[in-house]
Amino acid sequence: MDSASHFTTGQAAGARHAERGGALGVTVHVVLLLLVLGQLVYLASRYRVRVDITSDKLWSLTDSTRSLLGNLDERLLVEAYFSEKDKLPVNVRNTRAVLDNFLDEMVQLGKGKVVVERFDPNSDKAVADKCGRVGIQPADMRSTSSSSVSLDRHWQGLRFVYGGGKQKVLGLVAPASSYQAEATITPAIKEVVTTSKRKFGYMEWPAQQVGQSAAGVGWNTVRTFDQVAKRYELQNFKDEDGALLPDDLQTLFLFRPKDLTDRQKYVFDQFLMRGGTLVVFADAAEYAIGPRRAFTKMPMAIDAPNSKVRFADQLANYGIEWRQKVVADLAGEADMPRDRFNAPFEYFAAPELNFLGQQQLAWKQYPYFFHAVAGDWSNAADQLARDTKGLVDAGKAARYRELFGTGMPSDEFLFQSFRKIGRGPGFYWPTWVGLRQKGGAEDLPAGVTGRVLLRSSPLTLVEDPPQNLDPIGNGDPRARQEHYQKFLASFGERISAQTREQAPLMVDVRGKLPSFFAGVERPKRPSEIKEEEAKKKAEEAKEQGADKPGEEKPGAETVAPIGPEPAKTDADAVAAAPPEAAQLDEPTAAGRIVMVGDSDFLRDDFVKGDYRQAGGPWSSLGPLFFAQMLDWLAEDKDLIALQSRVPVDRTITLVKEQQPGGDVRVAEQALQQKTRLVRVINWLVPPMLLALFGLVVFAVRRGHKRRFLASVS
Amino acid sequence: MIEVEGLEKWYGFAQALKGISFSVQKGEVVGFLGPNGAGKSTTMKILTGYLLPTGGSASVAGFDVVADSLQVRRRIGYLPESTPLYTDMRVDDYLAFCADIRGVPRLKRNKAIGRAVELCGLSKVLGKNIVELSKGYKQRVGLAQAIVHEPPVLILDEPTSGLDPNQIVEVRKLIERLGEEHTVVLSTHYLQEVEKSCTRAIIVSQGEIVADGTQEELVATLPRGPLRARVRGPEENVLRQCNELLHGVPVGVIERGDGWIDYRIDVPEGNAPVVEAFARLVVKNGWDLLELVRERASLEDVFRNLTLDASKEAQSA
Amino acid sequence: MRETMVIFRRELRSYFLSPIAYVFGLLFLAIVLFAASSMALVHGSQASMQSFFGMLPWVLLLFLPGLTMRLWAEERKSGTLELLMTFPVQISGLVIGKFAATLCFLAFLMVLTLGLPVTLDYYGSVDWPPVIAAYVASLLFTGSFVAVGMFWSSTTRDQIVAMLLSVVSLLVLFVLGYPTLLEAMAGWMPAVVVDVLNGVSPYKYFESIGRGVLDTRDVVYFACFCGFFLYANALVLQARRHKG
Repeated sequence: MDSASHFTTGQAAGARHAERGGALGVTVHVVLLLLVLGQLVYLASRYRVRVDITSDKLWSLTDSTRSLLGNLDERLLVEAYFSEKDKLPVNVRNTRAVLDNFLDEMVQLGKGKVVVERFDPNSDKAVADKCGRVGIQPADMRSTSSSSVSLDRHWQGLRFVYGGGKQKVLGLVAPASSYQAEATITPAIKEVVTTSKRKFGYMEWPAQQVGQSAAGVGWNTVRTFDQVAKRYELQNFKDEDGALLPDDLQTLFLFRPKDLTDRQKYVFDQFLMRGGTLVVFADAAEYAIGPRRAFTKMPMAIDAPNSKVRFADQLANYGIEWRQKVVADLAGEADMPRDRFNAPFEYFAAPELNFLGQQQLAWKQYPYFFHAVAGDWSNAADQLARDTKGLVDAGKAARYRELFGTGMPSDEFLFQSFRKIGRGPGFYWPTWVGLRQKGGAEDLPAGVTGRVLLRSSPLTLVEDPPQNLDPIGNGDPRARQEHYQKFLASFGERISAQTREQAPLMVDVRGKLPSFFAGVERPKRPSEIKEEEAKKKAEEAKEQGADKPGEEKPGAETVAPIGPEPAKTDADAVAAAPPEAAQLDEPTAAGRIVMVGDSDFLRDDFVKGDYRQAGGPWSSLGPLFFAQMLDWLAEDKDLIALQSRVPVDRTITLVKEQQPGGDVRVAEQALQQKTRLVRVINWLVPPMLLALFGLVVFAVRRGHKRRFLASVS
Repeated sequence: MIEVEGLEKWYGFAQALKGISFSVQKGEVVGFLGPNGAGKSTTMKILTGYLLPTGGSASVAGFDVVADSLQVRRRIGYLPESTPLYTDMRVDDYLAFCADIRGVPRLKRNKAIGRAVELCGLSKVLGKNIVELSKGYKQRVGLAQAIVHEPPVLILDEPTSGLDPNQIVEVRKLIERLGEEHTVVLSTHYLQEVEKSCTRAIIVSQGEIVADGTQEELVATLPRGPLRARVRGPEENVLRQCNELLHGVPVGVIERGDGWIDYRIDVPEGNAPVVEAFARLVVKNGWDLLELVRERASLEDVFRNLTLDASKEAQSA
Repeated sequence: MRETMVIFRRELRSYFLSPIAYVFGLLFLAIVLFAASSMALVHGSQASMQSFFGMLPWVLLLFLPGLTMRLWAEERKSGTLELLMTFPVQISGLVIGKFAATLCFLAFLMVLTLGLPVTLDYYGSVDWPPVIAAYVASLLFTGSFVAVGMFWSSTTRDQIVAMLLSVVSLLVLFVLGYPTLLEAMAGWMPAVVVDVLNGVSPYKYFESIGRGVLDTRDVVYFACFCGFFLYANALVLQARRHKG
């Protein structure tokens, strides 16, 4: 019935009356109700209360942010340079809502100490100019104005000023969730509120590279890695003159130390005596990797030629046993990612011809690239104690069960975000780094505690670095295949000759470390030596007269150059240098050494994935590990929590973890069957229950009816 | 019990009720008569509170059907036209539901259902699904539903339509019994129904009440009925003599039988001694008078008379 | 209130005695559980009901109108609506009784899906509080869908028309909040309109529920949504008293 026409024609009074009570009444009611409810919904979204009921509090602000804002000493001014919200593109508008929400929450948490001031750079030229000065950038985006499409400037930057002094600018923030907002804004606030960026020192010895520039590959990428550079300052302390480290330096990183002079070792020792933390990424050997996949050992020495003491001995003195051997692990396969070529992998792939005759990358097991995995290896004791006939040696198995453990302790804070992945960062030709042992037991210096943080699997081969570790060579496909078979066979022979043990790959030693140079005269600085020599020379010259002023003594070459370039010391500067701090024979504070048996996984070319296309290694987890390590060392657990709020492990385990060395296909099949079974049960049982319920209801009713009819007749 | 005053109802442009007024006293069984579309159902729907009137007022048991709709609904039992039922329910479940929703107390519910079942003769089908029942039983279920809460007023919209003659008889008996305890308003277009079971008839046509009264009152409004005479004698002679004797009185043949003929003599208004004259005529001519009856006016005549007039009027207008 | 309970009981009973409701239930469970169990029950993945709750609105959107279409249309067609409306029950009582019964039946079906989180908990570990809350919340939006379906059912006596109208209207409401579409519309529509559409569409209100965040905004939205359609439903029925 057409109500509108009714109403306009309005023939009879009665008809009108009916309409007023009918269609019109309904319309008016509905419109009014819509307005009221719309208002209600709007208000509800303005003054919303969100309760995060996940047990991990996945969607709530962390305590870190709360305590940070709740304990401000001075006023934190937040200048929000936001252009008009209505003109923002829709997708950005949501981020504005998130930001507004977050700022409101900040003000609440700040208890009056947080002040938010808003500016619109689009409406005020002066504000826009200021933005340009302080580093808040506009984004030019398509505008959403009703009639036309035009390019508009949008601003969404924040500037934090703490106590009228320190400031920090976030040029353009567009967080998609409050969680993301927190991850960007809280560190920024922390930065202005705390006095300075945490400083870390480092020394690096670039890796050699074949076939390309001689400059070598460094560790720049990990240092400039976003998460790192924002919050930490890394300063190079590699001093040609071997100066002692400044007192305010807490932590020093050594990226693949080599050619270490005694003086440098002394510097480390004194740093530790003072209570510093030394972090060493060390390798026993350096393998060349290039476009041609050389994989050959390159000459490298840890200690400088004229060095009198060995770095390994120095470490042993502190309680670390560093065997300069290469560790390989056959069990890497156990945690092979599903999608080998897209998932983060530390595996080795070789070009092969597929059945269509096209060249493609095929995954190859390469035991020198592997992860420490979180699984407990004592579960695999029986499997490992099996002899060639497949019989389990009970005694061996019991010993193994006792001996073997997890490759990555899950309680360690450092591995918080690796727990989910179930494995640590991938290592490349790593080396043995363990605790000092004597007679099979830990033998640490008095007052020193140590812990092994990462271990390989028991299927490990530890040996002196071989000259060549290329598994496939560079021949034609068949030759490659043969080469690879030979490589594996040889590896298998070597590994079965060894006793099964888990090679330690990372240790953390702390306490009052004994000085390696106690009671020994401190090694002189190169400049001192030169000075002495110059003095000597001068004396000699005095003695011999001024006949041969330019002549050099052959003994001068004993002065070891530190680093890639020979030191050029200005005698005047040396003279002007302040006298060195007195030698410490005893520790004055508890020091700490963290040593990781690999440095390749932080190399620029590995991190960036330069060899990905050619099937080479790609250390995708390296930067994450490094960033986590910095937070861990800084003991800023809040920030780790912010970076990697990993929920409780809720991994679905349909079948028990596969025993290492078991048949992959059998396990795969078992998993498939179990998966199918569980799914089908879940799929079919509830509908069947419903059907059963229905049948019961009908049967009961039928019985009821029959009984009733019987009683009637 | 029921007071209706100037009730109007418009469906869009069409006026279904043109201001009808009537009242029903307690204990009456009122039949609503009228052709289809006369406004019977509309009136009933308004009385039961289902429809809202456009104008006028109506009250049941003292409660206004618009303002106190719920009170009205509690006091009536209603059997809508074509007897809608929840066919997926069992008879006992359905009656229990109707009793519950009409506020029969839990304790008295079974008794109330028992009474309704007994009255309507449903005990044999109580455990059956309604969908399995015959039309007559369905109708009875509808009636049982309407009386389960013992309402003072029963409103039945065409309770016998679509039933076979036997079923009609049964339902009529039922209504008669119900009429002993309830005030009943029923609508129908079967005249006999009103004649048989109602104490009073209201005839509606074109949304207006054209007649309202007991059967006798209504019939009395009509002129006296014609004479029917069964005579054995020559037809021509009879007709001619009659025309001569009773000048102007129309006489016609109704039926010719075995040696006799039925004549119809329309007796005119006034007190002309037509019967006597005719009797004398027969005797005089030596014919045999087998039967002489004055036919009574029926409600049907009244109904036809009124509704035909009205529809003619409507057509001419 | 008592009368509402009577209506509620009758409707609920009719669900559990109606073969059509069982067919609906079987189809619903089979589809939802098939999809959810193949998505959620994966060895090595995290035990999470997100896939289930993410899918639920869409499945309900397509299925529920099939269940709700008969609520009023059938009564209208068979004439029982007239009977129903002459019972001493307020229209609101009728609407709420039917609504609650439908919701109850759906809640029963939901309970049957609890096997999935229990399985997940057995093989992994389920974070129960958000799962329970998500169940409650999904009942809330299920209620909204039921309200929409009921509303359309009250406007027509043809069940198929009621179903189509419900599916289409729900789909349109959903799509209105689709970010890509909003973006496209933002090009030529006033920002206010886009904002309103975004706010009206249920699309964004499902997000938190599946994640395990209880948001008053979402609760208020669905309560309003539901309330609006129930009220409109009552108005339509009330309007029938004028039109006949």
